[in-house]
Amino acid sequence: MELDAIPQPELDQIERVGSADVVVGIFDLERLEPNATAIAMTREGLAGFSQPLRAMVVSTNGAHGHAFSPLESAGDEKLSVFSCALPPPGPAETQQQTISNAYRNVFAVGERLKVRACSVLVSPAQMATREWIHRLVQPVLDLGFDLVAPCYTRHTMEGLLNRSILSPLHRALYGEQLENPMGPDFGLSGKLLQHVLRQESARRRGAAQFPPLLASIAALGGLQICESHLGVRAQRPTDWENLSSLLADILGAAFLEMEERAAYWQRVRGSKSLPRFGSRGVPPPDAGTVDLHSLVESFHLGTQNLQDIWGLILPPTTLLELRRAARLSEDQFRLPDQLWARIVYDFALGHRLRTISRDHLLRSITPLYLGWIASYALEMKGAGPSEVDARIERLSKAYEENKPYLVSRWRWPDRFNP
Amino acid sequence: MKKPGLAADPLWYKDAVLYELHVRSFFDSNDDGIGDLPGLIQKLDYLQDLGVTCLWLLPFFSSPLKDDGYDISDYMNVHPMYGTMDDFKSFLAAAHDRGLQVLIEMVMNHTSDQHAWFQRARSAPKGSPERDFYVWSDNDQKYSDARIIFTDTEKSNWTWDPVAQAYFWHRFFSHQPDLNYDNPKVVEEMLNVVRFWLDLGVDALRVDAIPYLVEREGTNCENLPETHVIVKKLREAIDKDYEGRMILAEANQWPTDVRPYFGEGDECNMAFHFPLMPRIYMALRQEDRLPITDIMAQTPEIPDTCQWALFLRNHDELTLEMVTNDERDYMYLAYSADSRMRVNLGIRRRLATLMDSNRRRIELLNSLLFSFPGTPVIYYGDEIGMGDNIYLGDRNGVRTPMQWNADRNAGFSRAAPARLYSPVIMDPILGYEAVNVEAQQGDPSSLLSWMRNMIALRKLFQVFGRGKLEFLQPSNRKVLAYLRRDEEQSVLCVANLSRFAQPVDLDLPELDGAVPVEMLGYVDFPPIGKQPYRLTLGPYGFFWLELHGETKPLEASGAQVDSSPLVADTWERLLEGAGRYRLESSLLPEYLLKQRWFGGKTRRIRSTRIVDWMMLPESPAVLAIIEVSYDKVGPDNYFLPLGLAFGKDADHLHETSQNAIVAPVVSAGEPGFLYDGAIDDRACAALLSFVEFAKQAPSRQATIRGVPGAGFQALRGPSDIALAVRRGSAEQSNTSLVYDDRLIMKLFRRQQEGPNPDCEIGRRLTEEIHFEGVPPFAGAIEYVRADGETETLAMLQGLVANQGDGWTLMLEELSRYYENSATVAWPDGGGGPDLHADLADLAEHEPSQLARNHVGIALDSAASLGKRTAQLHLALACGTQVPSFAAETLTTGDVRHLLENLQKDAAQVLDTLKESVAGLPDEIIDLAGLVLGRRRQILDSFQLTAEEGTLGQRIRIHGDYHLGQVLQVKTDYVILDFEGEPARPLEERRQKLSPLKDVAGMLRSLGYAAYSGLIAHAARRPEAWKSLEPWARLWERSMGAEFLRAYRHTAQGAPFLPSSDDGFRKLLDVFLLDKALYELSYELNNRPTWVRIPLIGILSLPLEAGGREWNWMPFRSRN
Repeated sequence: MELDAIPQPELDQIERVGSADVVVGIFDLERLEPNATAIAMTREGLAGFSQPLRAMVVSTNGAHGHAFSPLESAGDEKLSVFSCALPPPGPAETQQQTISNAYRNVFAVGERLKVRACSVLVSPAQMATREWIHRLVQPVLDLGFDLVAPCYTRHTMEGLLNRSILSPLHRALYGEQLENPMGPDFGLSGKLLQHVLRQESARRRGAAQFPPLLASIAALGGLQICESHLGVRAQRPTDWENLSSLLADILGAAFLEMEERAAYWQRVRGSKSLPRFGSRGVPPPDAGTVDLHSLVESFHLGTQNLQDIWGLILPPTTLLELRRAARLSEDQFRLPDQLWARIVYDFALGHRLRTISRDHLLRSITPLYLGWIASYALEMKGAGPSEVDARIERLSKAYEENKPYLVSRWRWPDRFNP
Repeated sequence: MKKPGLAADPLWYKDAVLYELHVRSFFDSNDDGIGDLPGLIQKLDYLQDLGVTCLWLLPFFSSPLKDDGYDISDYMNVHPMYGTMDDFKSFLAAAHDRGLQVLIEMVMNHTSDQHAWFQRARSAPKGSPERDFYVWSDNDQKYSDARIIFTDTEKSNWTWDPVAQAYFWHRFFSHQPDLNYDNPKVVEEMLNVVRFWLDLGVDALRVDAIPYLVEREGTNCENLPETHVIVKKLREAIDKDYEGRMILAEANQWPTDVRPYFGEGDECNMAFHFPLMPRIYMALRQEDRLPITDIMAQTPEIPDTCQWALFLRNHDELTLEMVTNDERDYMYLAYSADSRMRVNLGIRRRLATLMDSNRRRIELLNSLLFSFPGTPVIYYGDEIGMGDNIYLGDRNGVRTPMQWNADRNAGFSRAAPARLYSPVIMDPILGYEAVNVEAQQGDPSSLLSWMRNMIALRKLFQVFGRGKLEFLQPSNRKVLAYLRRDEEQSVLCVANLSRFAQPVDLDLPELDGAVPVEMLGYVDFPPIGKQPYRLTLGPYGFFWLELHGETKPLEASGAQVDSSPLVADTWERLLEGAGRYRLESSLLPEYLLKQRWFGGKTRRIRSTRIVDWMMLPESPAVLAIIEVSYDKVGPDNYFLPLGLAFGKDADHLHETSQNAIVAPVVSAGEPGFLYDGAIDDRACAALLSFVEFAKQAPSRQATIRGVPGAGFQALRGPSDIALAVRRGSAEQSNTSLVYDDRLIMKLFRRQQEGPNPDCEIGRRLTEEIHFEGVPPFAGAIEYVRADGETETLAMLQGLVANQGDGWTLMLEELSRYYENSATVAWPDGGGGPDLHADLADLAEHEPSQLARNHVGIALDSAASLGKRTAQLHLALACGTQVPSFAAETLTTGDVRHLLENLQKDAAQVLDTLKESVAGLPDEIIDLAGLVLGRRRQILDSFQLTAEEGTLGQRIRIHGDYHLGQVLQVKTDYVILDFEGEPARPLEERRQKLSPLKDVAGMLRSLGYAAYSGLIAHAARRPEAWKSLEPWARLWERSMGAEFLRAYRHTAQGAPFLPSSDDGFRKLLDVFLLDKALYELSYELNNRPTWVRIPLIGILSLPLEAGGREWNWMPFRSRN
């Protein structure tokens, strides 16, 4: 992997450092000013290890000219921390691209320094405490895990794209019950790092997004995966205006990955829970009420205007069920789990078959997704964390139960469906 | 500049799907009537969508085109009809952009007579380097043993050249002189040609006519060793400078002759399998798999890096060179009724016309192509079922323009039809108006859609390209069935070669338990069992069945298993770190299956989980609870002490106790083993200490505590004396640790929620009833959950000095008995006792004289045992206020409920017997048949009518009472193991029941002993079986009667017995039948050769409505 985003003077410095045990990437996507705490956070996060460690901190916050003074922790000779700063993201970069680039660069540095562990934090720095670094690195260094995926403490209406699609889809496809398969904050072993880099060099076209790939690469490689509770993660408020673009970005990457790994996930049956370290904290209070009327209204608009497109993607029984859902009163509105799982699967299939332009296809799922949120919000009104967990577990099981539907349609795509 | 090929995987060609096309025939971009490279570029999206991965281009080089481009006049140029070199480069880049690799022709054997090399050679003086580029002779008699290949057009392999004034050698057309590979300059020039194309980024080369490169007098000039030297040079040159490139050999030879072209993986990467192709057609027409299985049997193994190329049709005739004369005649008759369909030694037709346009036949043949071991090659147009034109000369009838749509010229070109290089197919059925890409692209049910789906499906399963092939041999030869397997995937392929529906039974014993999933629709089929797997296939139908959950031998998957040691720096790291998941997923399941005490051997373990563990204080061991999940039933928990050994300890462990090793580990660089802590003396001492000092320690989820019994100290002796530990030898469902001659600790391996009955009864009989017929209770180790529920991990008892267990002693006695009886003739004519009599009747009298004389003092033993058994029941029924022990009246409702359950169990056992009968030893099958034939009577036997209150009481009983559960102490017995039948749920084992269940258990055990002894005796002297069987019966009946007599006498009047003799007999018979059926179930799962004993037991019982129908005597020898 190329270190093309790292300025030459710093590359020279990396060469001089030679080797390290851990590389920690800290990227605060919200703040572009220098993050003076990154190095201190890393030092504190790694201070608890009994073994001597050399660590490299990579951040985006433009600390040019200040990097590469080896920072020795006073009174603690076991820990040496070096740092390296990357230029801030370009103005045209999407958030996904920025995260992906951050990962690439940290991996490139990790490869150069032959690290044993690597962690990348892209959540806002005020949330990413030193404990996060410790919780992402410790299972790798002490317990031999290859991927440490994050668990966040969220309120009922947070992380819905992950809860409704990404996590249950990953579980059904790869058989591993990961709460946040796309991270975005991860810990990795040097072994997984090498796997990722080998696959990246073998890939000739269409550079895929890193975070969605990490969990599946680890699963395919038979590597050891665990989860670590990190606590509360500051969630940016949903940008309802640009929801279609977000869905197209995220689902596009997930569906591409699905296509690429079809030979693997089609052989996986069932799912297993993974070791999870730490405990889930108390979720923050819900950040305001959901505008149910708007959500249901968006769904209704979709059923009126997108029938032609949906008709190319969804089979008649699903279309019929959507019509039935559209006739329900707002307080009775529901999208059953089985229906939702099949809708996601049908969109993945439409994406694979290029039934229509992929971008149009991905955007046309937006009203359906809003419908799912409405249905979920209605069901979870006043629900506690355990009820939310149980609700998501039911949804995940629906994805698993309907996997044969996906596989059969994937293998023998035919418009003549029930 | 050298450009890379597309491949990342050097073995890419194993997973490839090749598509053969001629640039001239594919698409015309400049309206001149001839297909060209720019036209091909326009159609790449179509090929990408079809799913093929590598395009094989027929020759597109400069050529006079007398042999469709195989007569090359300039190797390093593109024929202007097809475009320019830049066009080729553009095409290559466009193909690579779409993930399509490119294979081109390398015609090495010959050139066109227009090639500059030949023109120069014919004019050059004899013996000059220029002349020496080709093979010359002054006469046409050299190499006379070489056959003529194009028999229709050529009369000799030599042609006179008037310019050179010599004959030149040609194996093909006379305008194609063979190059002289004895000339190193020729080799070097051809290598330059190869480098030229590989430098451009071409991925693969098809080496045309490879067997004919070198000639030698006295040979047939084919496959000569010198030719292989040239091929090796070619491969070496390619491997030296290029990565991921492939050479495909065209050698129309028998598989054994083609095999050398793979070398040791240092010649060609691939070679066509020519003889398979005509035999696929032959098998289809003859509706017989033999031609296919026969040629595959003749196909040798090839190096792992090599691959066969398979095809149904190509640009040449369906060649019949590699068949016998009879086979050739058959093929002509079957597939070329019109002689115009024949050319050379073959048939010039396309797939669709050979199949009479039958869609099912086309699909069937493609299913074979895609599932046989090799890389499939699809000939352009066959994916839409294009037809051919036998009225065009040579093989041009199968080289007509690709049919893109129903427009003029089939959409191939906008030129005037007369300008086309070849007329398009205009057949009303297979012509372009009916058969074309555009129409089929819009039709999800078209052949094109079907092909696209099949190609995609094949690509999902690497096993098709890389797995091994194993033919099955079902009796119906119209069905071809084979397994494709590699380390990760198994696919069962079944094809019906007949035009009618066919049934087939597939013998798949090693796949027992696997679930076949139909691959096209992902539909689960019934699981494979011990019986032959039955399928029915429609006309020309086929199944591809992906096998899930197949039991693979561990060594078979060794390549994929991570065999590195687990890191065991600390117990935490080992049991909670990453290693835990290898332990849980593979190492623990493997370990458990090897343990005698593991009760789930007949089930398929889905996973295991370490649900809890704790460090055992004052020891290096931990105590762990392992949850074992199965495929079809709920999980079990097992108790497993674990230890770690390194250095010399590890070496010793490896030498002496391999079966106790769970996994290799490493700590601080030192290798060692994780092992069963029950073999560690320090751990065993710590367990005893845990009880002795009533210790308590938290585990991850619960608390573990030691509970000393009231008599612990007396039994243990002075606490300052250490007790030596040894392991009990008779390990079954538990593990016994013996502390000197004082104490014995039983580790209960399978854990179930609730009080352990062994502990519960032992403690009560010792501490409350003071019954001396059981080993004294000394303590226990309990697992206390957070909710207060308790399980017993281990029980400690006083060790009772004894002569041995009842089973062993009885077998020793029987050994002597049979030795003695073997010399004595069974008294005929009524001299012997009535062995048909009911046991209860026999028990009313003293033993017969015959029994006294022969069975002897063993009868006294049986009487002691009967008495001790009755005393046990009296002790268990002793008045108590403890609800779990209080005797209760056995109501008719209780009995009805019990009988219903027993009947249900019986039905299940009989079902199991039915499923297993085919797998039983031959000599047992007829016995099993007799039992199965009495199913109704057996089930009806679980009926009993009695007046309320006459059937005695329900009390706590032993529950699993047999000779192995008693120890002989002098002339008396001590009774052990109150766990009940381990396979049954704990709640059921703690139920109160009629004590006649125990009585029946011991009676069945005496019968078991009699026949086990006989089996052992007959193993040495098979001829003795017949004469000794009545003696076996005498022993069983008289011992049983004596036991029963003593039991009834001792327990006489006890309220737990039925009040009437009739009730006693009926209830006893029910328990005897139930016990025999339980034994049958056990033996079916564990010792099929012992199944005969419970079968005989069942048939000996007075079954409802039939009486004792089975006449056990005379009994023919089974050995």
